Amino acid sequence: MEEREKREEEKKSLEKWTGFREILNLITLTGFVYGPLDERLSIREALEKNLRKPVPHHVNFSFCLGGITFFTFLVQAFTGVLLLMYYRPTTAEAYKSVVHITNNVPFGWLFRNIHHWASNIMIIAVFLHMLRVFFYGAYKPPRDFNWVNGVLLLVLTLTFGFTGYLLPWNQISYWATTVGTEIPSAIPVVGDLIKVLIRGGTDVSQTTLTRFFAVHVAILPPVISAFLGVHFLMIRRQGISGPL
Amino acid sequence: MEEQKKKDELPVLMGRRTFLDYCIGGGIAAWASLTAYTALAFLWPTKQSMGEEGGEGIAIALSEVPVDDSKKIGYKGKPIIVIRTAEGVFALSAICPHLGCLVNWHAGEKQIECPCHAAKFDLRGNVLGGPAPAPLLSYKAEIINDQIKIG
Repeated sequence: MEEREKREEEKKSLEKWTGFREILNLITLTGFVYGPLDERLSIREALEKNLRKPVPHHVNFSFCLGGITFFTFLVQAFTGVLLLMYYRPTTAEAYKSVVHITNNVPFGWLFRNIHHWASNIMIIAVFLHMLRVFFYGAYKPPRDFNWVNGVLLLVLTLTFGFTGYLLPWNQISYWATTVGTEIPSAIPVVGDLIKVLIRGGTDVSQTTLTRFFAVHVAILPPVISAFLGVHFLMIRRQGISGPL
Repeated sequence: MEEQKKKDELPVLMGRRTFLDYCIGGGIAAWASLTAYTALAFLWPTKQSMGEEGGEGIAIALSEVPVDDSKKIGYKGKPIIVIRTAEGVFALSAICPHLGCLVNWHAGEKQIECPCHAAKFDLRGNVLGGPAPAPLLSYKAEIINDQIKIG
């Protein structure tokens, strides 16, 4: 009984400290999550612990690049799902539906452009993040597995970009995919097999479009989410790396 | 000294941190509602977004525009004039680039004329005379079976 009172007291003193309470209430949808749900799950406690986690002094804005990448990923997921509502992945209709989204659907131009630009920003941010990690030596043990995981995330991000580039099915995407899928054919012995496997035929065709669409919207999102989860769990467990 | 005391005595309506928290919260709320609005508008079926055609084009029945006649219709939210002559069909913006009046087709002169200041255009939108500073926008139009396809 006494212990509980003490805990309540502690909570109150924490809340007095700032207007933190207001923001927490906003986040936790005052009433429901704060009330009955919090009693059972201690959501506030978890939130406070995470939002109040102290940050070491050497941490500067270059440490935000990973977060920026993740933010652009969330933007991509959101706008991507919206575009999916109108996009049609057939050679006859893909370009038409993209034009339709851009010209006829309310705010279609906005979401398409955000999806386009956020993808560019994501790739820039992921490279800068990688540079930051490299120059801080943050890839060294015990974080070496996180570096490997991060490189896989980079590959997944680039695959996202490569598959998404074909989807509007215009001249530039068709030829970029033709050239891009031609590259693995330079590998000795198995090169042509890989090319045919990626294209789903000898040429870039409807099968290629279907394949790239499937990879872009169905396969990559859950896979990258899993790797992202592991990426975050590991950095959380091991803590942020030291100063230069 | 006196002033400092006065300052201390002022009633605090809201602490600085609370105020900043409200600013952040308000910003997030504004951003979230804008996002929700645009996303809903995107998903909400409208006349335009429901078009099965998927492209930009529209079609009208050939019988609606007899030979040597014209018809004004809406296309992408703007008025256009569809003209049918023995040469074929033509679709042009109906908005005069001079002061924005709606132009008319004069079959006798084989010209498009603006009723406001008598700007004259040919069937391809080129300026033939009058105060128009630019040609009329021209759209692709063709007869497919018993329909006129525009765009």
